Amino acid sequence: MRKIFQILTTSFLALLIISPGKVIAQTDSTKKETATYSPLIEFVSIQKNDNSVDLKTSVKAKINGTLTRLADLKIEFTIGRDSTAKKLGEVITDNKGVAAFNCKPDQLTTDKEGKLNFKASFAGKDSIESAEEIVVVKRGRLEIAPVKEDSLLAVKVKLVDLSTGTEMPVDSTTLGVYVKRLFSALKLGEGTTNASGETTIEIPNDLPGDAKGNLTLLARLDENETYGNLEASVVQQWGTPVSDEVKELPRALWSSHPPIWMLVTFVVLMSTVWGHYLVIIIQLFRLRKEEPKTVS
Amino acid sequence: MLLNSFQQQAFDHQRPVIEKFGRKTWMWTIFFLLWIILGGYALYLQIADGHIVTGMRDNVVWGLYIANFIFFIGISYAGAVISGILHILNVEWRKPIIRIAEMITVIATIIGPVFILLCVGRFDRLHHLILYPRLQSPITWDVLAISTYFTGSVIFLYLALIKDFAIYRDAKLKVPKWRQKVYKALAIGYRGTPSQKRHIKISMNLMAIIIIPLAIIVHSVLSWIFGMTLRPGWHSTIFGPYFVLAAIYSGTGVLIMAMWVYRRMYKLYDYIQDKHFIYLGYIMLVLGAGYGYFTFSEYLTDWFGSEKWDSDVIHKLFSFSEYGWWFLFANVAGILLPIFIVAFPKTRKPGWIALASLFMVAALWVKRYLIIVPTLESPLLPIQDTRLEYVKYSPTWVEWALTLAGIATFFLFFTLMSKFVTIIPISEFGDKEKATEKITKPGSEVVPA
Amino acid sequence: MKQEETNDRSRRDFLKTAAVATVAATACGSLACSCGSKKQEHVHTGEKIKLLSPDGQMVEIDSSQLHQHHHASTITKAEARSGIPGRKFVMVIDLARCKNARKCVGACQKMHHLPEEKEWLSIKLMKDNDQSAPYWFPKTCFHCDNPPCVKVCPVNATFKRQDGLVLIDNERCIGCKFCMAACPYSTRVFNWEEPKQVFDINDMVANPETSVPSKIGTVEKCDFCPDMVRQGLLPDCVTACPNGVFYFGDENEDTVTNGDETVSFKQLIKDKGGYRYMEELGTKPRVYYLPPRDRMFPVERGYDALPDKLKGRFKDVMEKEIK
Repeated sequence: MRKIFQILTTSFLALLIISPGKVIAQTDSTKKETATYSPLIEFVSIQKNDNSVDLKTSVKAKINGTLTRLADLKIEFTIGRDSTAKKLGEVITDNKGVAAFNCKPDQLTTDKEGKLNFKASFAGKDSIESAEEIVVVKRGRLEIAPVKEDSLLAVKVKLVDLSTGTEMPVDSTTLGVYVKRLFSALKLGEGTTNASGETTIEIPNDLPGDAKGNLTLLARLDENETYGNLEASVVQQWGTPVSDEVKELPRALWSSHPPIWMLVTFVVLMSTVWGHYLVIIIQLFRLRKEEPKTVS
Repeated sequence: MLLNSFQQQAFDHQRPVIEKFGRKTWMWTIFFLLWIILGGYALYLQIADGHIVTGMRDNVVWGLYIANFIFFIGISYAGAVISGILHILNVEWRKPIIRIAEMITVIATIIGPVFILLCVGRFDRLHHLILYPRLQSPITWDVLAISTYFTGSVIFLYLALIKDFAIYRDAKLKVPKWRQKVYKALAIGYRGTPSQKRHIKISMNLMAIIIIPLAIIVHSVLSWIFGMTLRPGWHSTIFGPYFVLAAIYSGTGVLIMAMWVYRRMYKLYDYIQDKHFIYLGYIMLVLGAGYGYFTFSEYLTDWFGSEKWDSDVIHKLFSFSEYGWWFLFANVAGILLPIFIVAFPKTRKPGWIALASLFMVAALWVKRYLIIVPTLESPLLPIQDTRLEYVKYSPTWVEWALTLAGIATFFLFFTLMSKFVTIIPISEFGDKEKATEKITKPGSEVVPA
Repeated sequence: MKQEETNDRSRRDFLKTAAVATVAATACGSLACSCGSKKQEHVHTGEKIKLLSPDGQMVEIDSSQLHQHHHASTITKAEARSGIPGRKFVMVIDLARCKNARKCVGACQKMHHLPEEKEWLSIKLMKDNDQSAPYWFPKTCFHCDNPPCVKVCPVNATFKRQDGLVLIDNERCIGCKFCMAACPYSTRVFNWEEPKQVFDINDMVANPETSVPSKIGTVEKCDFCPDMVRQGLLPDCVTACPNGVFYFGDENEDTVTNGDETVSFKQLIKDKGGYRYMEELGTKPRVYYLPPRDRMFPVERGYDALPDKLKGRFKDVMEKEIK
């Protein structure tokens, strides 16, 4: 019984020592902010070549003079206007204030003009007021196909309008071709669609790719009045491979392993000196052993 | 143990010193302890509040502590030179002073690294130096070199003490029992047999040979802590030999000062004679000239080349609104003064030479400060900070208190050591003469043969 | 004899109790720690936290709404030392665009919970010679390929990774400040006292990739935000700059971006005459500068708008200009 009590008290004391911050509670009582903030919702749609639509919102509010991104807010996405409105889904903004939703092809319903009506709304929470934003775009699609002629690499991009139910090519529209990179996309070139809605854009053949040399090529129509944003992507092994093997740093002055000659020099120097010390210690031990038995 | 007449005389003269722990000694001990206690309080503040209590900031990251470290390791070269070089050259007059020299070495090599520890931000993580060492770092070289050097100097000091311990053991001194036991243990059964004598002789020769290259390496490694960086005033190729020479020079100065103090305190005029001061004075002159040559070469080169970064530092050192007066003092008192005092026969006397050494040692401390701080105050990128303490370094009372505590520790060690062993080594005297008298008779008067 | 036996027994008992107690306490302690770090889930906690806004006001916001600080890293120490394979990060700073808005400084301080006086990213006013015009010079750590700081660290606390970054493990650092003496660009800062952090430290597990929480007596510096990069996000200084001064990217991919423009790194350096600061030191920095020609803003714009405290930094340089 006594032993158990001993263990408990010592554990409690040890716990107190090990985790100081956790046991001693910090209570702060400060005045509650009474101001309310009205958020700004940036809302874009991206129609992809797999017929789905990406919806992206970024929620910010001006707090104390700075535009701050708001996390943890519930954004509701709906498609359709008024009576035909259908809820698509709910997403909570992440720590960058961004909420993204992918609308599947079967969820897309166009109105009479062949337009998609999207709405992103926020119901309001605590000190943040409610807000909503709408995006209206015509249904369209970009198609991208790789084209290789001898050593010349290119992509053929076609822009079609889907608002009428049948695919209609769209001409005289400038769009760009990009290669997907770590943080963004690098523009490779642009072209204007001809009467059949097509344009061929060259791709340089010395672009760095991933470990296998794959490139993700994107065709993009940005911020078009009618269609909003359209995107098409294709993966081709047209890049030079860049190894993603875990590399060990070489022996160098600035790495964690010293050059061999340095190691050798140290070992030689240290063993020489300490070897001398050892010899001397041995000499002293011998001296002690040689103490004459008789006390003079 | 059998002693000859010289040894007997030397022992009788010094015997009272190691037997009595008189009032004067107590006073000095307490005086030094007070400074050490003040330093202890300063250290407590530094550990509790962090290094913000010092004057060091993001630009001048090294200040008084590192200057003290370099200074103390520098003066530790007294032993390397005097004991080492003079031993190999078998110079007879070295014998009375080798113990003082070796003591300076050992004590300074203890105190110096303590200042590095004071400068390190995380006292509690020092074991990382042993667990996770990086061989490419000059600090690792420093750790290895200084611990090797310290071990070597302790061995060297001890080797020279064995014979004396045997004498103390046999003399039936009026000292507490624990001290008798210590003497007996440290004498490791030395009885003066020829074979034992040979063991000591071999050991001392080996030690003398190894300690000289070791000393050169140690201070070179120390200088490379500065020399291997890319800062103006530090990135100099002559830093290795420059620091070694400065170290031997300052070591000689401290040795002369110690000799003078002990001579007066314990009335050792028969043993530490005028000629010792004069010979060491000559050594000091030669070393001073060499040190002056290196100094001149260093600053002439920087000034003549007039590279932008070097010129910033040179300007700080030459301008009287900045460090100009200190620079002048460091060079006049550090180089010219000792040279002139020794050069002229009128001033070639123990008192003058000791005074010159005092100024020289102080000047060399200032020189270490001038190596460290002006360079750190002249970084390659403009500082552009409105906080004055980030632009100019001014040491706080914490740093001064710890500096004085270090010096007090140095003196305290010496005071206590002089009560434990005789300052003048007994056994070294008149080896040639045969030992006739038994040591057991206290206070026996023997007329030298 | 019996007395010794009982003494031995009681000693043994005590040691056993102590051992069991310590194990139990450590288990409880680590359990408590892991419970604490779970807070990273975005659960509406209803708990208010205080935030120091850039203009020095204390604002109280629900903790779930302002998760702008770095996530607790799930990267192991070994991975943090090894780096992200296949990448070689590089930064390009366009001096022609900088107007000393100091948004980058503020963003870096906010993200790493640094007090106002601590600048991992600092902006200098440089004047190359008497005839040239002064220009604003944002200075991060250059993450050199031949880093003088790494060369001199005695305990391997600062290290170079395969992705080019030079990081600091502030649990290994002994605070000798040799790296600070060795860095020719004065980029490192030291915690001279207990660091003033403005967030709940218990949320953060120390990791070289997040460089927080700061620890007294250790060195720290700009780290190119590798924890953000792992999430595919640009470092905060890049996105905070209103003029697109900072370009950041992967040299292996030959692409850098400032958040708005994405360009080929090699092309950018070629076209605009990119250079590295004090190339002759041989440190091989990974930050390139584009020369301050065809400036976007006159240099006075960056000086006049400053609060007096900061103006004092550049008075010497600006006074000569204003004459």
